[in-house]
Amino acid sequence: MKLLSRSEEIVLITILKLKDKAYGVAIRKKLYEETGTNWSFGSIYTALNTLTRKRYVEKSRGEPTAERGGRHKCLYAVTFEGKKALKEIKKVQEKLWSDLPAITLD
Amino acid sequence: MRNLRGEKLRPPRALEWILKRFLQRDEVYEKLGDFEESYREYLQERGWLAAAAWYLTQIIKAVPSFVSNSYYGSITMFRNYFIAAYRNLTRNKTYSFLNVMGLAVGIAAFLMISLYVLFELSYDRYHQNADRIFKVIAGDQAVTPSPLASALMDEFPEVEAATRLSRSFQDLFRFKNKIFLEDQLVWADEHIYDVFTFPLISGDKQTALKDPNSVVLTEDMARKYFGSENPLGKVLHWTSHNLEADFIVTGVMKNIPDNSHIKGDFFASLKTLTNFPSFSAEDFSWGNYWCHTFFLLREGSDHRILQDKYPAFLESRTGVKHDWDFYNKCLTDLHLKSVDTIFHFSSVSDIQYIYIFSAVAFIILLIVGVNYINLTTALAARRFQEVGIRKVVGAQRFQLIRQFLMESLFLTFLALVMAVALAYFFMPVFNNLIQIDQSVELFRNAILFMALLILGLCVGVLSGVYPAVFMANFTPSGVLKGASSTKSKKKNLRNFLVIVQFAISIFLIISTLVTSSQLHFIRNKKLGFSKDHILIVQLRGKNIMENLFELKQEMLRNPGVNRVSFSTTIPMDISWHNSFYYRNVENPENNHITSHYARVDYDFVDLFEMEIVKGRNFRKEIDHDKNAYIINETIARKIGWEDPVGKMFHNQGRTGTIVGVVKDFHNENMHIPIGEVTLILAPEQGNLMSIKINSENVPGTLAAVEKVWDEFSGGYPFEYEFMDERYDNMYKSEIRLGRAFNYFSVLAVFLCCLGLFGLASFAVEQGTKEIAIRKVLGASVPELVKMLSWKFLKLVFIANLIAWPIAYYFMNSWLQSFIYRVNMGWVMFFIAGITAVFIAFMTVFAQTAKAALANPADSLRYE
Repeated sequence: MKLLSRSEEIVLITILKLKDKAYGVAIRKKLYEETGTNWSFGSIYTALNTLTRKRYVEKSRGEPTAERGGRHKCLYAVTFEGKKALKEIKKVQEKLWSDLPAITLD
Repeated sequence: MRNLRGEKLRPPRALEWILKRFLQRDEVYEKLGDFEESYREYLQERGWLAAAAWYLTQIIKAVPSFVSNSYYGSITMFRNYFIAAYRNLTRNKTYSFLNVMGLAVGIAAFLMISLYVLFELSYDRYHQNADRIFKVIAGDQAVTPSPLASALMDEFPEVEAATRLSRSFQDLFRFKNKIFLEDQLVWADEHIYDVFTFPLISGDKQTALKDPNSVVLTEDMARKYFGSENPLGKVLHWTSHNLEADFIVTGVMKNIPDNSHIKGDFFASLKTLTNFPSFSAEDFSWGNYWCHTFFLLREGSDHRILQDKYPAFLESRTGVKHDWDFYNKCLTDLHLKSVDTIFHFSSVSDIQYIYIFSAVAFIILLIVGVNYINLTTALAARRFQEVGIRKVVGAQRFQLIRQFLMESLFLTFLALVMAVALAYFFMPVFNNLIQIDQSVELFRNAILFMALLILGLCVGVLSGVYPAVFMANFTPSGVLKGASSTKSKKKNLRNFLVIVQFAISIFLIISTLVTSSQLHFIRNKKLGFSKDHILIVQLRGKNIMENLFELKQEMLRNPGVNRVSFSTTIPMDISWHNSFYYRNVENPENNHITSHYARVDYDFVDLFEMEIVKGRNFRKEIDHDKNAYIINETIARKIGWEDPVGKMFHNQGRTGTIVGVVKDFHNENMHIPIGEVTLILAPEQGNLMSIKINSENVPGTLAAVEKVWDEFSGGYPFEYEFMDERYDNMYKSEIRLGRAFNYFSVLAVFLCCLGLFGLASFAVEQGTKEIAIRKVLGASVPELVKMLSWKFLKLVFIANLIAWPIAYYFMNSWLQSFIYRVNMGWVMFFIAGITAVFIAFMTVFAQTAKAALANPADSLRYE
């Protein structure tokens, strides 16, 4: 199984946290809160696109609002496979970190 | 809608429009919504300007990721196109094969020809100052006296450096136990490195050739003789006939590129020659023409102004006025624009070829391009369904065009790969054809490689665009209605293209016929002299010149030798002229005639079997024949002498009787009319020896003659030429042209037939049911064959009508350059036409006959 890339991982976790309110703007805001940097929509969409293609994320259509110029939202939700992939990467990371003696980082 | 500050809530339209282009097709609006929502927030917080700036940066930042994203989508689509192309290729195996093969053969031919053309054009351009290097030409000779180079440097400040070169053949070099025979030795003086760019790897270019007995060799030669040892200071022993010397290696230079007029593996100091007793002071005088003089013009000077100073300069140096002009020729012109001179440093070519070959290359490319268009549009009918379905499920016109263009690019690049392979394998054959030597070094030449890719792209796009647009224009409703609605229009175009192709082929066939019959004419025309079994030997060296009489006696002792004659030139090459004076009673003013002349001896007329029509030949027994002349019929006619025998001629202080009139013979090539010719008796002044030998045991006679030569020559090698070969050499360029036409017309006809074969078999396949029904209704097999073939033969007939006048025009102008030429009879045109029709018929016959012979039940059983 191919591991997730870092940005994919972060976006996937963000969607998971946002539950059913995960759409472009919300994801971007949440990402700012989490990482402290302003993500461009471009990089978010790229990650979302790969995630969709890998079937870790599924899309659905949300309600239109006036702020959006009357356009619908595209809502993202993490699929079962997505959750599996997240668990996988978490395991790998924990294993990676656990082997590392604390002193080597100082 | 505006906010409280009166700003527009929507992002600027233009930016939104741009953004929309970049976004992927799915969820465009949702994404635009995201952008707008964020935009409004920024607007609220920081104002319009900041928000717009943010929007813009978002677009810019988004570009790379959007591109990489949309790439994935395209890949899927491209993969689909690829699959469609592949399936289509495999479904129509024969046609695909014809298509790709045709393209490959055409591109391979184009590649080989353009390699040749590029190679020829690149000659001598590698020298740093190539545009400032000139060679001094003396009249029609490329060789000049040896003191010229240093005199140029002394006399003219415009000359930065000048060098003299001379070639040597058959030199034996020895180092310890390594002995090799070399034929690339150049005698040169030290300024060679100031004029030309021949980089030295080791040694000092200022002094390398300064002293006698020094030699510079190429890296290859250094390796050959010295292996890994340091060659500098080593001693090479040199032998050439009876001359020998030791040379000290003073430098190693880079190998000289192939596209160089100056060729050489060894540069030996020319001063060495002065040490040999067999070279007299006379050899190094102004009267002896044997050195190639090159010079580097100072920047900003004009070589034409320099050239104008030559006559005065030469007269002051030599004390005589020259009959011929000395002039400058640019180094880069030497290889392609030197057909008017003789005695070249190395063999030259003719710019004419570059033009003709380039034209032919493009013609061939045109033919294969047309083949592609024809076959693809013909096959397009089979893809009605595919296009229809694609359109129904939403493919747009530009997508279909893109698809078919990609397909043609795919095919072209497939063909390109095959073409490179073909060119690689056929290069030796091609080299042999046009008598050059080069190889496909595609991967060492990045520019050529790129050019080839671009060529593939051009061919692919140009020949693909029509079929692509054509197929993209199918309407789904047309597909549903049946495949015949748009047929007649495209058929017209196909027919037109077939006509163009065959017109080109017929043109080439006619050209082949005309050139070969003219060549045949030249080779077999009665020249007025014999040229068979005659050896021509250039006389060199003091020793020989002083012992001409003895040499002749020794030669004649050999039973294989019939006659020996010394003369300044030979019958087919009498081009120098002078004024001859005579007494004119009626009009004393008009007292001279300009005539070509040759100094000959008593045996000349008999050896070349020329016919004396009035009077007699020179006779040794008659004492006052010493100053005699023989003139040709043209002179007698021009002066108006009924009986010229006994009249007096005066030329350069020599008065003598005209003892005979020789029948007109071709004194120059066939491009030039027979001129006035005077034979001057001067038995001791010849510098050419002609030897008439028996046709039996030629090798034995040659060996014997060489032995005699070596006794007298004082070291000069025995170099001879057969006169008939030399005669053919005069028409070398014509012969090469003829041969090229031969092969290219065969290739063109082959490629046309490839296309026609494809079209014919396809048309027959489409019409199987029609044929079956006709057969059921009583049509006979010959009738059917006739009907089917006529469709195509008709086109070839029309092509004939187009090709004939064009061929007439071009070949007529080529023939005009010959004074003596064949007539272009209608027979040639007829033969070319019939050939084309016949070949076309044979091509379609197999297909039509198969269709006509087929059992109608087979084709109709599913109806």
